Amino acid sequence: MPKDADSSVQLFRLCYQGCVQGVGFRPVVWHVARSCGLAGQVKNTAGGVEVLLWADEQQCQIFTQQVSALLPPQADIHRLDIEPVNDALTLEQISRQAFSIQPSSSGFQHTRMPADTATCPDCLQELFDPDNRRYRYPFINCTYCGPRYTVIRKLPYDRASTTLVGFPMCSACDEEYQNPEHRRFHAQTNVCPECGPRLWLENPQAESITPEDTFTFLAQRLRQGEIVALKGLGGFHLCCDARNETAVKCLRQRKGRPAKALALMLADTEAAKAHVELSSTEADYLSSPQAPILLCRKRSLHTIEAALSQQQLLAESIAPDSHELGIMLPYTPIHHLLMQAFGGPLVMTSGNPSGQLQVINNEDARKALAPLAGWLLLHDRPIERRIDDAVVRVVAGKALQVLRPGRGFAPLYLPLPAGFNPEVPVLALGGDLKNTLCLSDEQGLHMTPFIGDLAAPDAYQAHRQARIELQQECRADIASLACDAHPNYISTRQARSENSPPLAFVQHHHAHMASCLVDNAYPLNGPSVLALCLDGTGYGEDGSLWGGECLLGDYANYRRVGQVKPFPLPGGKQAILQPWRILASQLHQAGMDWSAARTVWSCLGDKPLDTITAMIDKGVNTPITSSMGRLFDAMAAALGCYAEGISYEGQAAIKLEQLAQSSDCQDVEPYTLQCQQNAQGLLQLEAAPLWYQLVDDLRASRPRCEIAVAFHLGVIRCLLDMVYRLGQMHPFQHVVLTGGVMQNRFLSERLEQGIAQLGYTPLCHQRVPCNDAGLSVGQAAVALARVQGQQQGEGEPNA
Amino acid sequence: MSDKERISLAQGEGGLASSQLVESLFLQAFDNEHLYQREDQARLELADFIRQGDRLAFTTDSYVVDPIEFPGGDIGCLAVNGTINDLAVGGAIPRYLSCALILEEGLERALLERIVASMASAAREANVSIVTGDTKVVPRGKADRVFINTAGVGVIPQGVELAARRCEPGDVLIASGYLGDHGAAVLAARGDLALEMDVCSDSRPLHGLVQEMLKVSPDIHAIRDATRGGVATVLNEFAQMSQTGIVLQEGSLPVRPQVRGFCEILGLEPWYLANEGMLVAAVSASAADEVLSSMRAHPYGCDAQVIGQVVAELPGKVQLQSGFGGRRLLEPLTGEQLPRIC
Ligand SMILES: [Fe+3]
Ligand SMILES: [Mg+2]
Ligand SMILES: [Zn+2]
Ligand SMILES: [Zn+2]
Repeated sequence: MPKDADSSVQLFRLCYQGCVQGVGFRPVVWHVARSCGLAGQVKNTAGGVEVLLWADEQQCQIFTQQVSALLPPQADIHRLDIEPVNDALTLEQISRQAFSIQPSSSGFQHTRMPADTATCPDCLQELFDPDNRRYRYPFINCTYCGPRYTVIRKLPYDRASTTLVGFPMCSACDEEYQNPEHRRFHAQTNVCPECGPRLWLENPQAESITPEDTFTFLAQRLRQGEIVALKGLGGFHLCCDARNETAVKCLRQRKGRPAKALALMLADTEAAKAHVELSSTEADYLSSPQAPILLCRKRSLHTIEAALSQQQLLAESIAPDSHELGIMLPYTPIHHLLMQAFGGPLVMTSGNPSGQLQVINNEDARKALAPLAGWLLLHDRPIERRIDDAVVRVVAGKALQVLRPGRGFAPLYLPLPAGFNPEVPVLALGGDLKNTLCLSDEQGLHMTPFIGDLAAPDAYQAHRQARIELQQECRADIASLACDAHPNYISTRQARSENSPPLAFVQHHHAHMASCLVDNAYPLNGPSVLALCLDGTGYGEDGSLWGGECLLGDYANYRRVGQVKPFPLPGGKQAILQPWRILASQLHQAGMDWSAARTVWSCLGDKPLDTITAMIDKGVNTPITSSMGRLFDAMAAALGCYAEGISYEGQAAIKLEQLAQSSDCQDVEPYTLQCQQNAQGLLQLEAAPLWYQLVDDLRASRPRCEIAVAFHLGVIRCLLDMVYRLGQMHPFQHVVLTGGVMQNRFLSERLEQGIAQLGYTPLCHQRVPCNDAGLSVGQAAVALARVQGQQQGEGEPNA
Repeated sequence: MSDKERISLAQGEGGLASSQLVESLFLQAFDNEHLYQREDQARLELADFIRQGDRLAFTTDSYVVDPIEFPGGDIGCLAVNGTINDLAVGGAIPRYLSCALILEEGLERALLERIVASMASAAREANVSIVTGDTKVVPRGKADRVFINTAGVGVIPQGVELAARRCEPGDVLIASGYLGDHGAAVLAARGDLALEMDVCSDSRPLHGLVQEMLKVSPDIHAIRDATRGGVATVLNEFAQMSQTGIVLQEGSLPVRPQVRGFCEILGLEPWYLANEGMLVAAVSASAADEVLSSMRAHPYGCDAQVIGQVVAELPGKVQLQSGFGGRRLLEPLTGEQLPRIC
């Protein structure tokens, strides 16, 4: 108990900001206060967590140190303000005898939304303990695990503001909730079979089925090749036996997803090792509380065949184009129960018809998923917010890279790099594909989870909704609304048509570059950097489609100093969907004649190449592009990968990487690509020579995977040459690697290495995706830099 | 070719050469009493208008199409039908047109004669008179052969109130014919695209069709002709003006197979291609069947189709529903069809 007599004891107010709600933070505070023998109270506020503590200076210091040391795994302290309390009423009210947890006070929301976390080991142990009262209860959770983001209606985080409001705690649960010694002390989502949500099974006719054991029943259905839709944390999944080719094909056909890789759920890291190469770092991320989909290298077929029997092999159509598999471990009690009953690998793909968002409620599931699945596993805990599984990978053996910002990795809160003034809020609308939004305010940068392609009506609506929520979250007036410079982007068009705050148009690749700078906490006033923006396509300031650009600059400004030599895209969008057109364009540009080309490439045999020539020459629906992604498409088409057409974004290029990765021979002579300076002083990567080498190689029947390696290495060598030459012309130390093409691991890992060998510091993406999902962060940073630049300009005294 | 067979600067200067051109060409071709008066203005009887309705409709448009002649028409018939259709889709009965030509010095007289004849025949078919006009000739290179401006007046019968803002959820959307014929025909005629294209422009006057539609249902909510920017752009106008949503069924959009193939090769979407004799109407569901059959009974509406619905969701936006059940937003066309895709 506090030494009341000691005159140096006073009441301190400690305000914690950051991710401090819904993560077991207050119980830690309570325990520390108790063990230090200090009186006072703790409560959730709209701004975070407030502790009132009777202590002297030294005790206070020890207290904060201990809290930091015992911080729960999901908690993250952004900021701690400590001040003495002088207000007489408060001094009067706060107990000097005991330490208590008080109910939340409401007000302006000012704290981070906690993330959903995978079932913790303690809960898991209880789940399978026949003597536990939550034995096999599919909603078991505790202070350290379970649903958060997906059930929270508003902050501060209390049961009453979650979708569990309809499930009042029974006396047994309430006892745990009240007991400071219990793992479920103040666990807002505490539930049990007595008081919590329940699970049931329906057939496609919406009839409830009550088998003896739901999960045994489902496992049998899955073994027979049936498809199940199950309601998870952030939405529905469709699942089937990953070893059953017929079932996987059927799922693909029903979902309208012919070839894009499907994610797998495996029982544990040991089970994963049967199918993928898994480093210890990767195993750690896989079994982390965030439980993301981790992209891992497939084990080569001959090593698998030795280890597994034929029946255990994965269906070939799981990820036919890629050398990687996306895998995750069970992260809810439902998954654990299902996995225990089924045992083997499951396809676990988001529950939605092609082109639509993941279904999140039972009614929509009956409508949209019943036609796709034989069985619906439903429950009555509403999902408040949709969130996809995150997709991440480990690069260069160590660094985690987020490719799709989903559950556990989004919403993403990033501090603003040094030099940015957080008091000028800006809102960025992101790109049109892989859309996310980003608010920058005094809390730092706040990026939403992955939304998707805005041309899909429900994604568009989700984007509008997310924007409204971000605007509400922001206390001050938004100083600038940032969007892409593409005049036809739905987001940009919408912003233009409204009575909005001033618009900041941010060039697509400048946004990519800035997003990487933010991710690396690069300061606002840092020296200019060189950015290699290797991308699909983005609107360039000259009206052409950029995508293979070397930009030199900083957050506020850039100038283009290098590019892939521009080439025509006959048919525009059609060329992106039909890579043979891009191949034709490259060959045309390289001066190859059609009759020669036709003898080498059968895919060109029946194509109207004279029309393509005419379109190019006359500029009929033929935009010009400098895209690196499109150059990869052309090469993929040339090697017979999806020349006729792709069924998802990047398919041809993904296949090309797979070819390169699968080559036994990585040490081949790179193809020749030239780095030339054009009349305007711009360095250009010229691909023309490689097509002639390719013709020779194809005629000599050189293995395709070797050619793919030679191409990759050629591109890398030419890019490094470009960086070297630019380094002779301009001062810079940091080289940013950004854009969707950086998802190509073969390319990005070698580029990073090469740049370091040239003596430069490579800056790579980590938490902010290198693809268009990261654009919003970059747009926000650019807009903020510009607003601040203007303000500084205005502030200068007139001469 | 001798100089006589080409248009000279003098023929636009208002002197003797000018009046010779007017007399030898326009008066003969357009052939009506108003022109023969040769005053500086046409004088039109108000009483004559009042007999037909209670409002005057007045519009103007300029025509600069390249090429000047294309399968199914030329700049002349386009200049007449285009302006007539702008009147027609307001429910007006077109009556009089003006015609102002800007000619490039050196234009073949024979070409001009063909264009003027085409205008005259289009006007005759539509029962409108070209009652006033002007001709200027500009030096070589200052214009591209021939530009035409026409203005038109027509009369709107009592009780007709066609307006984009009147679209409401539940309305049925009807297209009067195939999508994109004109755009495809002109594009194919323009370039040496090494493409066989067997399709004609749909250039034709629509007021007769509109009057038939109004006869069976005077309360049609909105009609627009889907010219530049195509059906997609017109429907975006409907959606924005009325703050409703629109859902188009891709499978029911009438597109000729050859136009579809043409679009496939060029990477164009037929719902963005221009039409010059095709309209889209928003009709309340109860009147839709009747209106549709009245359209199909008319020669210029025989290929009419229901193409979509007006809905309450996503106000201001047009959604295209594909066969697979997926939907996507169809934005209005601005400039080139630059891909959004990354
Ligand atoms: Fe991009
Ligand atoms: Mg007009
Ligand atoms: Zn737990
Ligand atoms: Zn309970």
